[in-house]
Amino acid sequence: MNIDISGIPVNIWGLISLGCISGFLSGFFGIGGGPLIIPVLNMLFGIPFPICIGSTLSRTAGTAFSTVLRYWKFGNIDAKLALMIVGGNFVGIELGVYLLDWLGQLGEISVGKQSMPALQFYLQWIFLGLLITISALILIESLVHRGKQDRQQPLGLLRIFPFPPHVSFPISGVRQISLPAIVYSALGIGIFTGLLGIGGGILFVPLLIYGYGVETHVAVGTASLIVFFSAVYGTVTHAIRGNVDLWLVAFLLIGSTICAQVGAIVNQRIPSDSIRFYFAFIILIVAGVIGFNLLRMIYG
Amino acid sequence: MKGILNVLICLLFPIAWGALINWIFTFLERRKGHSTPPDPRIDYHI
Repeated sequence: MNIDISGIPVNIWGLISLGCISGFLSGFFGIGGGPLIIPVLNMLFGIPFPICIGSTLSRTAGTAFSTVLRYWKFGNIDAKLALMIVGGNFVGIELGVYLLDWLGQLGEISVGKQSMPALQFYLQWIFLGLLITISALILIESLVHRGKQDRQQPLGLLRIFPFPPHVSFPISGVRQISLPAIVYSALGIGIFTGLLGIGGGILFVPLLIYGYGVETHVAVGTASLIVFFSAVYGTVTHAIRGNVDLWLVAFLLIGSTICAQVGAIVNQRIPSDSIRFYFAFIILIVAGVIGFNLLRMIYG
Repeated sequence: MKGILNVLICLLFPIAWGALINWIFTFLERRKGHSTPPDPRIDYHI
């Protein structure tokens, strides 16, 4: 059974299955899953890239909303922290997009058959290195804590910043942390997102856990709320440009909203250190996809 | 001049936004009758 998307016949069951797998990952890890779905839609189904990106963002908004409702019920969402992060993050995204335009004028590099801003190409390698380093560190940390009885929560590296004003997040278990440390770290991730179009939940979950010291289940719930805000913002931007295909979104959402709920429920039954352990592998998979795309660009 | 102003806005807006969110949530918590639990490391009886 096929439907027509931008003139390309696409199998409905394939879309529903893809939506289900990505929805489970979104629900379980609090990520959007864009870097995983977009290449599959493009390579496997042959859907044009702009439509893939716009429609995936719209799907992410729906899936993240479903996930947020479930985590809200569990009491695992720190709305205050999410809203604070969103302010810095959106400014960072705008800065990243502005920087991308500026870098485009500076000079381009020929990669395989296409040309792209030189710095953007090198930034993708830096991002790849960053993801591999983060996943290695999470893997080591979670393995160290895995066998132990106390199952300690990471302390949060950014808590050492002394710059006032300080804020507290009782739901997250964070007594005191510098406000500038929160908003500027979110701004930094936003710049990456604006420049490369990736790095929502996949960077926010480690930042919340290891940067701020947020409890793992709350970090996943809060990250899904941040992903929801970012996805709505991205959807509006792409919808104005006509990059959202409603049929594609609808069939992806059928699978993903249901499976996101399952993912969120399974998350509650698994200990924090195990979630961090599995999260390291998800980051590695995303790094693998980015690495594969970079090599494909170079060798055509 | 416009560039400097843009940079200042980009740097100050996130802080202002964060402070506003903090104020709103503190206000709502107080209205509900409970606020952030006291930090055991701080001596409030000065």
